[in-house]
Amino acid sequence: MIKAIKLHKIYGQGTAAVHAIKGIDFEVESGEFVAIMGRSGSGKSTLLHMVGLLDNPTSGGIYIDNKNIGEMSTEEKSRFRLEQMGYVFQEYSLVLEMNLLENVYLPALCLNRKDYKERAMELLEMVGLGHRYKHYPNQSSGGEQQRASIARALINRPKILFADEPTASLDISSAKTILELFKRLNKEQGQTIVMVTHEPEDEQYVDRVIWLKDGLVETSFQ
Amino acid sequence: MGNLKLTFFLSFKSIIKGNRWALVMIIIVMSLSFANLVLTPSIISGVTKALNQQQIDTLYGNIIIDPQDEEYYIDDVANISGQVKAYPGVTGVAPHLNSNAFFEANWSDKTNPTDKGDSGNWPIVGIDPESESQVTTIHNSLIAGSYIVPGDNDSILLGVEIAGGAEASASSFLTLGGVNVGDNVRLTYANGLQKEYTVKGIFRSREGQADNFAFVTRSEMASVLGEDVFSNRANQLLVKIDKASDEQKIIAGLKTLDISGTIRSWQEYGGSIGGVTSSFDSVAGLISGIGLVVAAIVMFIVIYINVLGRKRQIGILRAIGVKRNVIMFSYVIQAMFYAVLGIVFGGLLFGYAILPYFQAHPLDLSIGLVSLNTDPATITTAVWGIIIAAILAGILPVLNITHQSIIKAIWGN
Repeated sequence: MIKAIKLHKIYGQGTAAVHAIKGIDFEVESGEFVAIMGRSGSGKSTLLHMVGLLDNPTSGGIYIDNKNIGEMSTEEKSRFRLEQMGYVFQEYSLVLEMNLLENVYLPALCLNRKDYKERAMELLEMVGLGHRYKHYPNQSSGGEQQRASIARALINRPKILFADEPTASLDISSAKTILELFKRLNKEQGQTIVMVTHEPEDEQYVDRVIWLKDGLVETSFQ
Repeated sequence: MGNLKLTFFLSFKSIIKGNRWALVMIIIVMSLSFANLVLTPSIISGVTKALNQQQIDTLYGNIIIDPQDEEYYIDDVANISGQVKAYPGVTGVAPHLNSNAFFEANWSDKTNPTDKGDSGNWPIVGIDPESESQVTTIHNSLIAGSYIVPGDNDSILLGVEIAGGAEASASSFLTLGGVNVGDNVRLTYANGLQKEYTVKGIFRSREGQADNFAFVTRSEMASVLGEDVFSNRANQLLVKIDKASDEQKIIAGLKTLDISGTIRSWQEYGGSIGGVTSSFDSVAGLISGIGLVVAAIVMFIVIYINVLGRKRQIGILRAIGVKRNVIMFSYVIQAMFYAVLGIVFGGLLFGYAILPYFQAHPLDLSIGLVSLNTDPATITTAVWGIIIAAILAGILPVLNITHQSIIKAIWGN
């Protein structure tokens, strides 16, 4: 489903250049729940941003369902992200001026879907926030905001869900709820998930771990 | 259609749930900018209008009929005046019989023939007092005494710059030294005739040239120049028209009456003032332009700070797939909303506070009382100026952020 070939990412130029990703090859199969792990600065978020089409690699190729992402224009990537991908970011990433329901249905509104409100309510019910749909982000806890972010990420039925350290800002209980939700989505709905995490205990929830060190894949294990 | 709905949805949410203080600040800036854009040209236009009106009211009327090029006088004045006055839109016709004279006051105090004393050369105009009051406002500009009436053959009306005294702006030695109503002045006309008059009134029109005129009745001037020939002659006919009429159309109409004279608008006489008003218009344009740029920069800064605070939100919107142009147009709609509110509140401020204040307390300048003169073109320019400035101030910061890397925007870099 996702295939990355000899990915490189270099920030800056000349002597100030930082080689964050140094030629990574990896694949993610449809229906897999994969964790990208590594120490701080190992390049895991950079890798996720590139395969999630939020950032461009300096060199190398990314293929999703055999489609060469490098050949897409900015607008095509934007459309592809909207239709095929969902994102859960590290910190609370809801639009502050919208309530939870509006935040969840925003991506569906971009695609002019007819049943966006009903679908958003279904997802909020699924993540346990059906009763709080009118609340604004500043009236919700960190765990609630992340669950709403997951609902938003799922609204357009994405093929791949990307999560960038989704539990980093949460307490243990909220983090467990989020990871169990991911696990349930993966097992019950076959949702493909690529998650960046630095918590070793998160390994128990995923199918496979890709361990990065200094911009390279050190190990990949089930 | 979907994009449009989304664009309006983003704008609506941002306005309704965004930072209230930022909203209030932006609208205040827009309102004051709009009021300023209307106020500055209105003041300058008020000054130029006052200058122009002074010329019309004291020197020329709206239209001047001069003798033919090869003639010195217009003959058959009574008939021509009647014809002109009967023309639709004309409200008054005032014949002027002009001359120059050497004026003297206190001449009996002179100790020798070379003593200049209180004297000088000034123009003197013979007028029909009743006709004159339908054309000029000299009769309303008296600061002492009263206006001349038909039959006042031994009376004279002096401009304040001839009479002198505390009210005059010219130095004393350039005037008659401060003559008062009831004093006698002696005039020696160009034809050598010498005659004494009693000062019946002193006027101050605030128009420098007019305040250097003296007036006697036209019948008196005709008697000085030679009654038989001059009783039905004039050097000029000043024509006043009603405010609703168009000068050029009336000039064109008068030219069809086969009048033996040259017909011109007052602007052709007021060339120097035309230059001044043209310069004022340029200054008004310059000040307005600078005002608009300053307003645009202030709006840009306020909106930029507001947008910077939403940088992460813009990054998130882009990350989930909202198109750049949807985000940009949502900010354009917001900027338009701010601009419209600014125009409405600025317009209310101008219409219900600034304008009534200036009407109640006009500026007292040397040219007269100056109020605001706001024409539709000024308002239209200000409206478009604010809208364009707001759109630019709204779109430029967002354009910058939406062309940054999504990740940088989300990180807030």
